[in-house]
Amino acid sequence: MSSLPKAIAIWIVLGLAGSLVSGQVFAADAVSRAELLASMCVTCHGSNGEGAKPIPGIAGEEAEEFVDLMRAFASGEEPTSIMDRHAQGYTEAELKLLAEYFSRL
Amino acid sequence: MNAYDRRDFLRLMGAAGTVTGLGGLVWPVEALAAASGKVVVVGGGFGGATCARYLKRWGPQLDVTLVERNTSYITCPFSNEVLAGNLEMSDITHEYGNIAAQGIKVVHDEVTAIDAAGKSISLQNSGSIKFDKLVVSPGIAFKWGAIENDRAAVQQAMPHAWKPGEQTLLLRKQLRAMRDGGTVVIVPPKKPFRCPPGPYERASLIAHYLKSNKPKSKILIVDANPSHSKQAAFHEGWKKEYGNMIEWIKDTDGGVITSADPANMTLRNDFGDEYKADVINLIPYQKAGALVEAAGLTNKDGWCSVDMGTFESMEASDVHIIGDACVAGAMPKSGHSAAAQAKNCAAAIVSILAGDKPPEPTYANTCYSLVGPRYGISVAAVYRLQDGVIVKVSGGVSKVGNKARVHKNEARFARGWYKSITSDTFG
Repeated sequence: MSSLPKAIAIWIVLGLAGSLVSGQVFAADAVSRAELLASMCVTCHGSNGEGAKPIPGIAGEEAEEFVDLMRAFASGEEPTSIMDRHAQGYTEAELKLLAEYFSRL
Repeated sequence: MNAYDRRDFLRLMGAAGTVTGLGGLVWPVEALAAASGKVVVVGGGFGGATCARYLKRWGPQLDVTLVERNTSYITCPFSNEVLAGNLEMSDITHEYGNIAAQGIKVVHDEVTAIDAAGKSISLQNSGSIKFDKLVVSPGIAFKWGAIENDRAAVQQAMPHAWKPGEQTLLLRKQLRAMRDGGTVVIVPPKKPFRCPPGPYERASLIAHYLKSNKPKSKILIVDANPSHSKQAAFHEGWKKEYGNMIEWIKDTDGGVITSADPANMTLRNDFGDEYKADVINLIPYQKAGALVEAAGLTNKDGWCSVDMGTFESMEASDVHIIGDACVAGAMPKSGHSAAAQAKNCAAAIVSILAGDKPPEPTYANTCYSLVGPRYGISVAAVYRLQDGVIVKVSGGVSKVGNKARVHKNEARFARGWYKSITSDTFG
């Protein structure tokens, strides 16, 4: 990695190399849907997902676990205060966007 | 790497146009035009302050000015705790220093006029400011005259305490001075009003104070509405915590107050019956803040009709109105709603000024109320834009029959919520 130019290293870290090779173009939104969706979560979970005791931090959560927990909140499998009522409001695709976003913070 | 690094990175790539690398492949990278322009935000509450912060967060190159007449902000959330003596005013007061430190110009002045066509606002002391986009988050004004004598009555005799500050302390003083066995009357306004569960949380926390200090006293909620926010959860909590201390009188049972007599501390309803009390909290009927009314931005009901995705006014282009003042479909008039609207509005403005399409809107509201200091209840919801209207897609109120530990937890989460939202709003 260290021999690669920094910009290319970042592409790889972002996992974009594959899509570039397949000819897709990355659309850079001024504000992405993931950022807007995540901004709803951080009202309670801290501006950078750091949490606000006793509200847990969500920054750096492992993406698959995040989605799994949100599904469990939505179904009632995991007891919670209000997260069932929030989790039920998002699609699977939106939960994945959020999971990816917070996993990178 | 966080999303902000990513955006900066993409911006860098965009500036370069095309990038060559990876074994000689050439690929185009969509140029990310950085949003530029001058955005002025008027009103430094949950709506305005959040909007200013997210405009700068998402559009670092934007010239963002926040205009707010006061040098500090006292939150409505948790002001009922001040009323009940569990918190002091300083605990719910926030300054603007962190917002200024973020690179936002903070101007403390009164806006005297909005010239939407000329794209400028006039200030009392510092001339005028031009804008490319204006965001107004003016909060509420009182609709005087809905109850006869309301304006005179609330000054001293029957404080509203609905915009926190001196009025909150006046009402607290009156509650402390009241005899044991006295009657407190709370008059919620007819819907719609700021903070729908507020009057009922207020009754709860006053009851908590009276239970320990003046246990023979009584609280009457004389309500012009047929139902109220979190009704079943509040009524269950009142019974459990305070027995029969709180009585709720709905509209058709004599709840519609039509006149107030501050000299005799009486209220009269639409049946002609009289209520006499030792302490009266008269909360006036409400409409959008005076500034937007004067600017001709309100509808026939006194609120602001907006595009519910971008929050652009239906009356003036490039003027966006958020928070309690706007009509936002199914969203309640809460600080949390205002913050959610602020973020959608900021995302739309940053995108538009960058020549981009705004992301699909998304909204959430979370609102805790305290039945007692260790007894919380909540309402939470997620909303979407459907056919131009904000509709609820999930959510609801705390269940009736929850165990004490669940309520204790919700009271703890309420405090975490306050800490987080005020930090997200004021930095």
